[in-house]
Amino acid sequence: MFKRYSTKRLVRYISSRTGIASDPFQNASKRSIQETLETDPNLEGFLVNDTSSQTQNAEQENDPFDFSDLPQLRNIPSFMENLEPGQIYSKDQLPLPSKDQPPESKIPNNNDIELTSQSETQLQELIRDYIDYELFQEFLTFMHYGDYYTHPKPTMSLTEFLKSSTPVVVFSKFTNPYINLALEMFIYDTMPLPHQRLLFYKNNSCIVIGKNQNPYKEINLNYANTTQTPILRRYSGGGTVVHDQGNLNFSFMSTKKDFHRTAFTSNIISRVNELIFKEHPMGFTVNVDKIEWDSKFVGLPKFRLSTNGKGDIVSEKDSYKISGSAFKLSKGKSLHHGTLLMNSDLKELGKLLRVSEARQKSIHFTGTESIRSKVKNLGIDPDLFMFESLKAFIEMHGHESHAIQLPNAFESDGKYCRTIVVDDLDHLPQSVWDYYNELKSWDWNFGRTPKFQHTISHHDFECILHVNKGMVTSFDLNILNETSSDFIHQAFSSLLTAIEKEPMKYQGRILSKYIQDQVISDWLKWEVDFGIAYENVGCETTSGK
Amino acid sequence: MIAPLRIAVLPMRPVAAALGSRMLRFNSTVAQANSLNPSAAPFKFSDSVTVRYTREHEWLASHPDGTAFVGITKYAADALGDATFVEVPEVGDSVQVGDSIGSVESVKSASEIYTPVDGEILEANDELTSNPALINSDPLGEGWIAKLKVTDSDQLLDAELFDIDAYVKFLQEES
Repeated sequence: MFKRYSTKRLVRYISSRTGIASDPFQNASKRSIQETLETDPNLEGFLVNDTSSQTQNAEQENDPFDFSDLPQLRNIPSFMENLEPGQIYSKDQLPLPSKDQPPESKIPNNNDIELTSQSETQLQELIRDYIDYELFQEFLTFMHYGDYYTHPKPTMSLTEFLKSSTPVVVFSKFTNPYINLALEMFIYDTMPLPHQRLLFYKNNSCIVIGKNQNPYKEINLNYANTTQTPILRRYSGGGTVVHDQGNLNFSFMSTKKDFHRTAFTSNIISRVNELIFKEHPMGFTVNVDKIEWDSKFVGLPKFRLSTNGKGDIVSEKDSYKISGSAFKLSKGKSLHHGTLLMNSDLKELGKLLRVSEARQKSIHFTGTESIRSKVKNLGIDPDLFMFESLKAFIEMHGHESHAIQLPNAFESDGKYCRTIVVDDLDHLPQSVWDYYNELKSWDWNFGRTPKFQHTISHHDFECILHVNKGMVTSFDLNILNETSSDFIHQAFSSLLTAIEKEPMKYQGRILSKYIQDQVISDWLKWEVDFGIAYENVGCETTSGK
Repeated sequence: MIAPLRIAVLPMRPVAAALGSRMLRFNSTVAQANSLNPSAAPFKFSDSVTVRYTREHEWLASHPDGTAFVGITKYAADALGDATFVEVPEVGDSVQVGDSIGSVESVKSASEIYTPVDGEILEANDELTSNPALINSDPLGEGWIAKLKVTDSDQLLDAELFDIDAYVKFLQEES
């Protein structure tokens, strides 16, 4: 069942990879490539004509789990050997996102095999050069094993820490979207001017709409209800996004004066682009997505990034959106946040945001509407992305002074910035919970929708609901077929009088109660909001009316 | 015939004077752009209007009877870009200096607008809700955001509020 690979075949394979400008094999003749392969210590025992290992392998032929005939780096880079088990950052030790891809089969097929003639030192140099591996290890320890081991526990409270007049980077370990969005606003509020803050967080599955959006028009409410996906309205502008554990949210806060839509992202983009080894001028031709150290350690970006004028991060080649951007400006401060698609469930994303054309047309709304874009996952390891962003942040805003070294300072190229991992609910001050409660409320998430009109039609009549601040302020009933006029008027009479008396919440379950006829009642409930229970999308509805 | 003459004369003028006059011209354009539109309500409300500006780029047009209009300056409107949504305040709300009285959304950014004085909201410009582009085309006229009753007229003398010259100077320092 095991294939043996002929040298010729490999030569052909390697020669086909001529897209890389400085491919070390590119200028070599076929003959010399063959020699290179045959003498490569990494390929010992791998090639068909390599007799030295054939006898040895014959005995193991029956073991289906033996892949020893596949090429491997003979010498494990020393930095990997020296790591103690607890120090090694291995994907297996970390909680995996629930909706992660199924574990890829470790059985490489013919196409997966990548070769290198580069020596181990070169590989090591590359990693050291481009990832700054020692600092990265320190960062991972800081992130995943508690900052208390390597950094002293801050003696000040979280509020004091965030009020400090230095640049601060915050890593939130919470996955509750309400807490993260509340924490974000709290950090924004407490930031003294003119300083900067950078926050990272990952949320459990949820839908986040822009400040001035209409959830009835943006979200497949029925599906969100079924899957119990929370819906939150954020405090910044822009369109609707879906969060899950496969995407990383960053939030960069600065002064209003320094506000620029692409300043922060373009710096990160240039760093991330440098991590694409395949295009490295050294001619490192190994496909980094596949080689062993990579799959066990860190994922690298799959393609080059670029930015557009609106501040989005897009793929350079085909302009797929990798991260949207949204901004908030107030009292001398500015906030720029984005959701970076690392390994998100894009199918689920599509389902949650699919709204029928008929429904979209039936809602007349002048607020902000989302611009639907094609999206793609970058595939980069979130830790690596955060690490690169942290370095970019320090480079741009870090202090040279030693005064801010403690507590919890992170150093890169002689510049410092304070970092903190927030992972204890007890540390969150009341202001965070105030935001939390607002974000949980129906009045904010749905009630805050700017004025809109919803026209729902039946063959015999149509209803136009005028909704302002989540309340139905007036209800027009137009009869299209006079023969059933009396019946329809009677069915709607209680609802019309009730709305005239007092505006009612725009909720299918509430409105439909006032309809006498069961069929019309069910129809109205469905047309308004699919009759969803708002608790299922994370909202607390305080009063029934 | 006149044009060549001018060119011959220009280099002979002292550089400082030339720069100064250019600056003056710049100032007057900026000042003009950030002055009230004389044909819109905020200007026409009474015979005597006093206009003040804030650091957050709002303008306040106050009238002798204590009524004032609030909006954003041309500079702010240009900086924000095309508005897609304008949030206006609720009529009857009491507001205090620094309270948000609305926001403008443009190119995915939500910008808060603050009231420069204490007061009670008499009217909100509902026209902006259906036509947000007004805030870009006529920010100091038809694009006014709120009309309020000033409760403490002493606040109008606040040193933090600029007159047009001080505001133009502030803009220069900012950029």
